[in-house]
Amino acid sequence: MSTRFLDACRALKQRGRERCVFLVIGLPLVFLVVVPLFLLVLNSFRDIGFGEVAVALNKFTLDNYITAYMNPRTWRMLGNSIVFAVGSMVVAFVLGGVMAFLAERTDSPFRRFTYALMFMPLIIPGMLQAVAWVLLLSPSIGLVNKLWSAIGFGTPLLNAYSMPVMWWVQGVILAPLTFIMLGAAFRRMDPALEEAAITCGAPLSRVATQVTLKVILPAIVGVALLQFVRALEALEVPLLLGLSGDVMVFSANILLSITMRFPPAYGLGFTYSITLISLTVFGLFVYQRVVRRGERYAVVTGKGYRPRIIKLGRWKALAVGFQIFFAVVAIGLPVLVLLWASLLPAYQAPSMEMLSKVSLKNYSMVFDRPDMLHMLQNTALLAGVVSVCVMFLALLLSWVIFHMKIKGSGFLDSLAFIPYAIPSVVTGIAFMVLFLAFPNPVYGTIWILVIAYIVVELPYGTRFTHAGLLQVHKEMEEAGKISGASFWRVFFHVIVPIMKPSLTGGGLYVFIISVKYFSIAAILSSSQSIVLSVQIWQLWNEGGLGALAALAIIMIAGLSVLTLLGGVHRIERIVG
Amino acid sequence: MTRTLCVAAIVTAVVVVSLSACGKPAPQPPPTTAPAPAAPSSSPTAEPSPTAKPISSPSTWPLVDRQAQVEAAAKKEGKVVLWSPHAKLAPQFLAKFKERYPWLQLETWDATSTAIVEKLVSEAKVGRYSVDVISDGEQQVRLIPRDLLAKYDWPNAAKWASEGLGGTEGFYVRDVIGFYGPVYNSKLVVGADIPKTWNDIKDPKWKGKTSLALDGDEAPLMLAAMWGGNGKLAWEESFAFWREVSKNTKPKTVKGYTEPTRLLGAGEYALFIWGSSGVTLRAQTDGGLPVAHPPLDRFPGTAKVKTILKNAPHPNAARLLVDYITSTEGSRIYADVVGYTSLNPEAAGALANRRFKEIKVYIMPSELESTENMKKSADFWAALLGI
Repeated sequence: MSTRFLDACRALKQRGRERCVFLVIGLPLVFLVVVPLFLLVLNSFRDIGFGEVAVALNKFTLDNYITAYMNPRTWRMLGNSIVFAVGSMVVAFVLGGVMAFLAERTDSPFRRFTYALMFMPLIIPGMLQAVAWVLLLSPSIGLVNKLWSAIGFGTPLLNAYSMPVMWWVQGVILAPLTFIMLGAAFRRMDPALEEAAITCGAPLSRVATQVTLKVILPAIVGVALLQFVRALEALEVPLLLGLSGDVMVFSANILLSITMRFPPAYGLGFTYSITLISLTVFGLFVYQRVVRRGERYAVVTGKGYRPRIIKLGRWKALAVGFQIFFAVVAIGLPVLVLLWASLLPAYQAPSMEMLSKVSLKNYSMVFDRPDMLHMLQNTALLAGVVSVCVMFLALLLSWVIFHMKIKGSGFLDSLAFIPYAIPSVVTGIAFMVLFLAFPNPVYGTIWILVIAYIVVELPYGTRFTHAGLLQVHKEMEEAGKISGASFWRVFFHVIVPIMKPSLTGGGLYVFIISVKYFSIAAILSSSQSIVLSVQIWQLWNEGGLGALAALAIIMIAGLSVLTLLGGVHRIERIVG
Repeated sequence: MTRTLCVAAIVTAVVVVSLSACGKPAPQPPPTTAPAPAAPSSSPTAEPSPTAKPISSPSTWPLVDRQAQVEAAAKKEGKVVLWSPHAKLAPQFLAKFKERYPWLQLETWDATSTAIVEKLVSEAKVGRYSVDVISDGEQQVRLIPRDLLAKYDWPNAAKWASEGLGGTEGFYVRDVIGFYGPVYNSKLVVGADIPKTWNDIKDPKWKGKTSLALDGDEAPLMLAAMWGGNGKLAWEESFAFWREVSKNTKPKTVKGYTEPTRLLGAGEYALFIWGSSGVTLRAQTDGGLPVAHPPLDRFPGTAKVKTILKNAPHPNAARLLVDYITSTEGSRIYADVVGYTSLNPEAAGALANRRFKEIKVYIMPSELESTENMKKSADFWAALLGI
């Protein structure tokens, strides 16, 4: 009797601790996600101007919805947005997925350089990549098209202002995320299942589709969801390529409504945002359906394993060809154009005349900033703290959702993902209103940026940790619990070490994204908390392509030097 | 558990509503020193609040004393905060300012006009004041009825303000002007093809060779003002012009002014229909690009203004900054870094003043930049560009 009572007490205590963890994560999320979301929905029903975004029950109108959804252009825009997002997602999958597979599971000869290669699209600002493709594929001045006509073809090879090129450019921008996420999933794979299939005589193609793909399904669906929503919210490609090609998408229209017209049409912009959020919630619903029986994907168990390296044999040439194609076309061509642009006062096509104007003025412009050191310190602090906090919270959240299985954890997952779908500029305004609503020491400092970034980047973190944790069998932590380890001991000594690939890959990604995130910093930064993304925007405005290209080249050069010195092997080891 | 979180969400929202309603304002900055009688306002757009505090210097002070007093007070304040979309100010102009006042820390925040006004108004609503000076377009007149701007005597601007150009209301001073209109690639468009009139812009010969900026939503209003004249608006004439331009030339829609002007110089288009004089000048000088404004009869322009905030945390340092910006040396440097034409007659040597000497500019009266007119213009623009 007393043993049963003690067991019941222990179970209750354990349950209470789990609920406590649930609430510790849940309540701040409710505060930081529901309030901005509530502001957005409420204000989409209001006719408001400057300084009037608030929790207020006046100026109600349905005009924003009538203007937005009675306009047939809106529906065309919705179609454009979905086609653009799906196409970009497919391209990102092919590029990032194949590169991840080659790097993690095969004996491809260039796999060591793949990491450096895949980080390049991540560190080049998106607007620069889009402009580089204009300079390569514009029907008037595109270098590739000029070369094409020089060898005798009449019509341009490709048009920069077309949907397929938009898919390609956005796909290249998104490919690193696919690479990192799928790479972590491939790396964690126990080859026993594949070996069993091969032993039973299944051909390699069947093993790939029936075993490998199914095991990493959570990672695939997670990446697909992230890529789809990210492409829906993308701005650079739609603004620089889409507008000129008459391809208007929601994200560009939201930006136009809120920041590019004076006075801003906040209500209309918020109304359009509701559509983006609805699409995201639908995507999340699909994701949750796919992973609802998470234990099916658990391949990391108490048994030791080592991922099997597939010998490519006669396919090696094809694999190398793909890697070279990616390196030359997706990375090399735009980087070369940017290098040329960085050496000129303003971009002109290469010629002997322009060769005489080559200088390093743009490079000195990058360094010639009075507050450069202060800005770099702020950026390092911001990105470092955000990446650690995001991955810690994400892992805790994934653990609560998939291993504790507390009722309502699906809601928590949705809550953590929704900020990803709210346009950043809306999030920035919402946080400003929120933190001005009560006295606090955070507003106006770098810490308000830290909090906002954690909320908007948590969805990246959770997709990494969800995909990782779904591959980890519960028996690992159960073994710890049976051995008498406490809740936090199991978390830090069992879960964290197993999840290292996802945590480091995700952390690195969140770090780089934090450095580049602009829209929120544009609203929430102050004269004392300027960060690199704001600096990038300044360089773009005042120096145009040249200065920003110089900054990108400096970053690429840094990464390349790291590669040559062997630093990337270390990154590879950390990620792995 | 879902129910718990839903309840928590509602409670949180209620708490935020309550806090919004009774949020304790941040401590007020110390009042500005040495107030003097306010100059009468002649702002046509808004009546200033009767509580607006002037921050001018006693007119009885000799100038030398005034400067010494302001500098002594500014030294105690230690810094000055400037918000502006003209980031280029930072490295060049600000270095000169620092040379003059090395003991004064200058902090800048660069943002779009919309972000500046939004942040300022939102902060002021809860009694938070973190900026001293704003340098931006004339849309800042919107801040006058909100009682956010201080009156000042603008001693250095008196010489041009008296000519009716400088903004004599006391709440702000107009110091530079920028104009807007077509820019062409002077390598691709030569001789008789160079547009001579506004009608030449809508010629079908430009089909497929032009571009139009998405964020040029003030274009219909500016042309309506220029063609209406005397404070009237020729909306129909302007709308008809833009419809024909769109129909005849099928322009590519682009974003911003800087990059399209540079792509124009690279030959991506022959004509950028709504460029900005400041950007054109920088593309010519910094970039050496073959871009130019055609010799049209006149171009519409707007003034850029400087303002001191009523509750500026560092009011004396703010005076030093605006006095420097409007001084002969400061005007010249500022006009050159932003590429605009200086209104200060003593800064007539500024690059834009020399380069655009032949161009006639119609400066749009600030009262026409009302919210209603700008919304009408922006709505038309959005429909024209198919948004």
